[in-house]
Amino acid sequence: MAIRLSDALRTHILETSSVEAALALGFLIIYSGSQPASANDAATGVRLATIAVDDGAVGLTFDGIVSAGTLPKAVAETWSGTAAATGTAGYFRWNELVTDKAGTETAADTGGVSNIAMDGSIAVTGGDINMSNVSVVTGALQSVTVFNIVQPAG
Amino acid sequence: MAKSPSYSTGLRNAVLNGTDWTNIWDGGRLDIYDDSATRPADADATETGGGTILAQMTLPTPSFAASAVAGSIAKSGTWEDLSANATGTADWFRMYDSAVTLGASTTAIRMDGTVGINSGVFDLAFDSISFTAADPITVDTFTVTIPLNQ
Repeated sequence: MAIRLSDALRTHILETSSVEAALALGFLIIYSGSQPASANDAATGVRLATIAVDDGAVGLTFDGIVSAGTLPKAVAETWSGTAAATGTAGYFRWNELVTDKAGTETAADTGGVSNIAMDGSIAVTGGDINMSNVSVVTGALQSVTVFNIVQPAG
Repeated sequence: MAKSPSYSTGLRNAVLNGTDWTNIWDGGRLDIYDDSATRPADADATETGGGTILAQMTLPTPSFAASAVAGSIAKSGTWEDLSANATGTADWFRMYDSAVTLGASTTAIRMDGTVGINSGVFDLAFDSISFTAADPITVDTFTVTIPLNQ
């Protein structure tokens, strides 16, 4: 279990704007397999589902209210996506640049230090995202009901 | 003691949805404490009881570089106390934003860290950590890094 940030995201936080602004309107992509060693690396595994607002083409946002170093997903948004493939969810990548929900690999999925990306593990328990069932089946709607980003205290 | 930065809740909240790192510290303050007491448990805790302030300096504007490199950003401008407050061995620091909010707080923007001689080991390094009252104290280099893995 490890949240990994790309160099571009780290740099953005330092010199440009907040985490919320950096990740706004991005997409949460669920992949099979193991999380890459770095969020700078190309995504691996099979893209199982792309989570967007209401399973649509609009990217995700956060509520502007933070508490105790925690930034929650926008309560008003329903985060969901219809599975494009069958497999076992292993990790997610938050990606700002995905424009093709049909599953076409975009430049962002190839990794690189200039892409804003954030990875985390997926499991039933103990993952950065916990899913009630990590067995994803084509056509099934996947939903993320709770998603918090916690800024470490040290 | 190794690198051991501590970020206040106020700072964490600001980074999450307030601003970027570079602008937070402009006009802030850096206090360097001696080793006569124990550093506070975290940057939300009061500095009272954390030892004696050996050096204190107001941070310039801008206090950090405009550009980050590979997740790291370096100080900019002159960080200097022309006359150290006291004599002692530097041990830890607390950095404040321009509000310089003292005492226990979950909203103040602050960062704590270790002080030592080796910049690869400590959060803030000096050629010597033996400070003498009235001597000038200058921070030559200071870099903050956001880890790849959180």
